[in-house]
Amino acid sequence: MSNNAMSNNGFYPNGSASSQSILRTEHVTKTYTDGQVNALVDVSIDIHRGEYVSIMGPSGSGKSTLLNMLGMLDRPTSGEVFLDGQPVSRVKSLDQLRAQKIGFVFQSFYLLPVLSAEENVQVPMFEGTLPMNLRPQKAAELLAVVGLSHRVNHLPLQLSVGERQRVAIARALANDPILLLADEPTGNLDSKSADGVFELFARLHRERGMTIILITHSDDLGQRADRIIRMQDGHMHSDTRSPGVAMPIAANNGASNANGSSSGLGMLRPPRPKSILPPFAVPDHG
Amino acid sequence: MRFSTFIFRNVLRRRIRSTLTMTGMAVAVSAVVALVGLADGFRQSMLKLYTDRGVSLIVTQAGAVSPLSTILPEKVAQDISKLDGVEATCAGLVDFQMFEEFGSDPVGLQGWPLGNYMFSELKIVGGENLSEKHLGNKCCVVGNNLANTKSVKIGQSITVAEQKFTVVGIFESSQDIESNMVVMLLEDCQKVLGKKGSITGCTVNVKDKTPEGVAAMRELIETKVAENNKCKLRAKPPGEFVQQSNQIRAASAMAWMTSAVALFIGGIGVLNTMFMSVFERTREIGILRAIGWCPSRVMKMILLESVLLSIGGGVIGTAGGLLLIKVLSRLPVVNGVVQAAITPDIVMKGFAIAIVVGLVGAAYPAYRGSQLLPTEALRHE
Repeated sequence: MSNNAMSNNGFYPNGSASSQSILRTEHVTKTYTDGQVNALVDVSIDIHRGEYVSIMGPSGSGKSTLLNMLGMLDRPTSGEVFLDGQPVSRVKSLDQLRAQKIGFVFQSFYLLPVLSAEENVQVPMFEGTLPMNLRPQKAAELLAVVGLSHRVNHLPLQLSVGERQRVAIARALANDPILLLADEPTGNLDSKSADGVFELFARLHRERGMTIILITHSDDLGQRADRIIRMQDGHMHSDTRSPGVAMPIAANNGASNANGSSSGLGMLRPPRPKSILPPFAVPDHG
Repeated sequence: MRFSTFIFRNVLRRRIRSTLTMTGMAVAVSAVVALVGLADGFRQSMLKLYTDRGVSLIVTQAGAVSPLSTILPEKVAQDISKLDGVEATCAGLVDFQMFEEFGSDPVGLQGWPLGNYMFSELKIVGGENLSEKHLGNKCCVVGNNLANTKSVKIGQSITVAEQKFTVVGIFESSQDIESNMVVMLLEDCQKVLGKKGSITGCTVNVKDKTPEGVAAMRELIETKVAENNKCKLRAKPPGEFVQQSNQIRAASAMAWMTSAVALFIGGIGVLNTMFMSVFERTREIGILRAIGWCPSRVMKMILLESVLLSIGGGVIGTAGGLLLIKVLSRLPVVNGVVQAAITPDIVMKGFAIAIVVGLVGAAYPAYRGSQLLPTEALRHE
């Protein structure tokens, strides 16, 4: 992508981003309580297939609101969001988009306590297309991917917090999403478990080309991503590539950038394999 | 994992609350099953009194409020018996009377003409049946149920309207209503009740028992016989007669009204449980919505959880209701009047009502749950 393309009309005309663009916001603004609170102001971001992006910022910076927009949990007051090249405003129901294209990982895991690890992973599959008889097998295989093949039949309470988050990650992968959205995924974990979860994200990204968007307020953890977007007061403050190289952002975004170059979003990753289950193992980090 | 498994596990999550909700539903359903069952039992008991004896029509005075309050000339029965196509008739005088020996409970009293086929239908289990030799001697036979509960012995005198009657036999009847009655000859009964030459009604057995045959006889009685006797007559098949009986209608109405109160309370219990469930699980619902569950699936989840609780309550309630019928029908106050009627129809009604109450009670919570916005639900503490 060139500077021209970005400055022309605010990213890609006609919603047709580069072929690698997976998620894009164009001048997204979100206003609450009758225009009194501007949670997001004119935010334009382009996230490419296979990127590992962390969105950082202090409380109230707008990162959670941005997560809602990127995760199709909410619609912007103005602007447009494109998922896989399609303008989201034209989609009647966001539920199906979320079910089929986005995997969510939350800070508090939110596993259902009466369901085993394998059954928890199957919960999103009710909205998927996989035949019911294949679901247990796929859930078990996903648990193997996150290193929990020996915990398939355990209830959440029988698992450590780190293991629970791994189950939640397996659940997020249940319907073969095109991107993984993680909201403070290590907020409730000790440092060892947090390391294990980040290692898992890194492996998913590295070995499967999974697009990962990580929301965190922790500098230490956020720095592990390839690209860091910082939010402040509802604006995109900076967009940098790790380690610490400031990236330019759209001129109309109102935020400064370090070197005026393009946003450097072309960190191309190989397309995610069709198969949902690449044969790699992740060591347990209880 | 099936969706039903998911629902089942969710219900098991809060065992105490689920148990209490099911108990509330069970009480409501058992009240329905028991009360409606008793009302049905009462109706069936009355109906069988006629159907077991091949009665095709019951003739009473037209416009009477209650079958017991009708008065017809005895000649009506005689005229009907002479009609072509009539197999048998029985002129009956029926009332409820206080017998000195039986305390304050009114007891059914029936009078039939000497030699009527109805006497041969009574199965005498002690003493003898009423016959010609008892005519004018103030004798009676007593149903076995009444004999047992009031310790009536053969040869004992019982007093009604200050007249003493000798119990000469005890009969058994498959119908509780009849087994709790005193039967005497029509002539004696008319004297006791002060209704000489009168009857309450008349049962008619027709030869042609097809609906057309019965309808033809019905018309004949209501027109020709009525005109001959200068009175207005109503001839009804047993089912219609029993269904339109004031007592049956009152019993049925009372049963349903009482049941409605129980069901309302049961429904409120379900509503409360499901509302609490939705409120407590707001964030969980937010997660389910976030991972792609559509509102209709959330609604289905809540409704099915409620239905599962209701079915559980329905099973317990139906079993409890059937037990209650057995117990209630043996209570002295209803013994002999009401017979337990345990039919698939009642069981089906119990289940259907449980499911409907469960669905109605959970409808609004389910709607509320399904309308939760994922962003707001996820923020819920």
